[in-house]
Amino acid sequence: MINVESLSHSYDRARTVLDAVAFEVRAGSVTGLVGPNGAGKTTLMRAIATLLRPRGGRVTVDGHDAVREPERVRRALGFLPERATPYLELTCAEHLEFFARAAGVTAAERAARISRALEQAGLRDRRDAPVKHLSKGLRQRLALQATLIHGPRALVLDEPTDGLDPESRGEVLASIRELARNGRAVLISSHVLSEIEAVADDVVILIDGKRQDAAPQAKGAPEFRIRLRDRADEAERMVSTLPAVAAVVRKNDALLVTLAIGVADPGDVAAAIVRAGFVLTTLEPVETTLANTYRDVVARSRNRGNGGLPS
Amino acid sequence: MNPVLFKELRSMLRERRGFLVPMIYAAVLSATVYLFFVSFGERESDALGSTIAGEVAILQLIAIAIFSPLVGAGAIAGERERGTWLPLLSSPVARWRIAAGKATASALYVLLLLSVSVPIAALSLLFGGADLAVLGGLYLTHAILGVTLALFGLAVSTIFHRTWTAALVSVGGALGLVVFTAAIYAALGGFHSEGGHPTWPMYFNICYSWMLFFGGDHDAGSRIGWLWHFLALGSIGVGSFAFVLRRLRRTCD
Repeated sequence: MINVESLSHSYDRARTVLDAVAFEVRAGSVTGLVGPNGAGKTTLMRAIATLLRPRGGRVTVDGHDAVREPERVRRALGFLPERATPYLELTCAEHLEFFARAAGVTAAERAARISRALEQAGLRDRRDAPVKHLSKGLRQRLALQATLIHGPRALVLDEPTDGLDPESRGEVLASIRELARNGRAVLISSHVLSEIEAVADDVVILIDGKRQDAAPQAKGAPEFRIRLRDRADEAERMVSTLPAVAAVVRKNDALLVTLAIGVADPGDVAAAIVRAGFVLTTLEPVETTLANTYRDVVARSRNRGNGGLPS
Repeated sequence: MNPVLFKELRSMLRERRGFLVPMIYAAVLSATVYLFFVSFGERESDALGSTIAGEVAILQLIAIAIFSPLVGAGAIAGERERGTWLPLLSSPVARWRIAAGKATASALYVLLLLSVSVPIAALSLLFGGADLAVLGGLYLTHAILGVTLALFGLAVSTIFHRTWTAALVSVGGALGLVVFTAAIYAALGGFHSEGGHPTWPMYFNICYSWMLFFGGDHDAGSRIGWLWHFLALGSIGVGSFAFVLRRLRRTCD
């Protein structure tokens, strides 16, 4: 549904904001987009939403090219930017009505859609209340419903839970899951990794404009923490050459080892370490969470010299 | 009806400044006319009528020169500041409809501001000393000027992210146009009493209507001057609107 192919962008020649990013968001699924501040997440989302023209690559939404057919893309897509605010001087119903009219929804259909949107935002009783009198959480729900009023098949949501209380966050995330269940393709960014983990089927990690390969961890490949008595840096180099190892990251005297796909037992790795003359003190499994994966990807990226600091 | 225009008008008239600005303008105009009325006392009403017409011309031009660019300047920069711009840009509404809606709403607000002074200006007809054609010409000129400056403010508004910056630049630009064109006119020898100098720089000057009104020259040459003045203002307005369209089509934040 949303296809991003080799997307590149830079605001000036000195710094590349997006570097050949590629991924797909399928209909009926939620893809999480995570990365440190300045990683290029917002630029990527704006390119999908036709708000900027990328320097290279291609974005299609529901088969329409974002550069050549921007109006068709905007019909197929709902975009909720970061810190989006509804029109404060309008009432809840007027705000939804404006976006429905803007999308060309017929008068006959408009009333039904507005009522349904108010119902889903929990604002049925506040139809004629000015938006400026709503809480931040209700404004965010209203903004989300305005994004959906023209019935888009794909959604791009930039930090939709930013600044909300835990209850409102839960409600917004539940509605996002519901939208995917109804067949929509959803791309969502958030700095709260547990939210992405709770709602997303796939995750794209972006660091310094590049998509980072987090495949082994994200797909549940086993991960182990190995502690050594000394010479951890030498052991890291040795372990990284083993065919059973997909990735290794050193943290002080410990190595975080991700096994290659199809390898379930770390015994061969432990034996190779001992054979090489290192003193292994601990070997323990690590529970794979998005937070762990993200941390390791950022650490690997920083070791390669192109990493940003996680926020 | 263009949904952006509908929304803009609704928002404009609900905001406090939407009705405060015309009210303050009407109050200032009325107070000034009253002072003239009191100070004239026993003198002939013809002089009072032409004085009121002149006073309306001056105050209206000042109000138009300040408020018209401000109306346009807030139209897009204000949306950016409030966080409503990107949802609007990414909605399915065509970019030209956004530009047309914002431009029409700004123009209508300027015309509303102008219409506030109509009853006061009509007093000059009551007292005599000014004819309907002159007053009509005054309003037509100021309407064209107001719409032009509102479009200029709208064009500036597409560049800046802060309403105040856009407001300062657009009002500064309008006033700068007065100084810049007068400077070119002066450099070409325009303020010397001898004739034969080119007057084209002044066609772009927003105060040119004063020269025509208060010059007292209503011959054919003056009518051509009006025409060139309208064309010059129109070209600024059309150029500004084209700039807005281009910026919105390109896109962006």
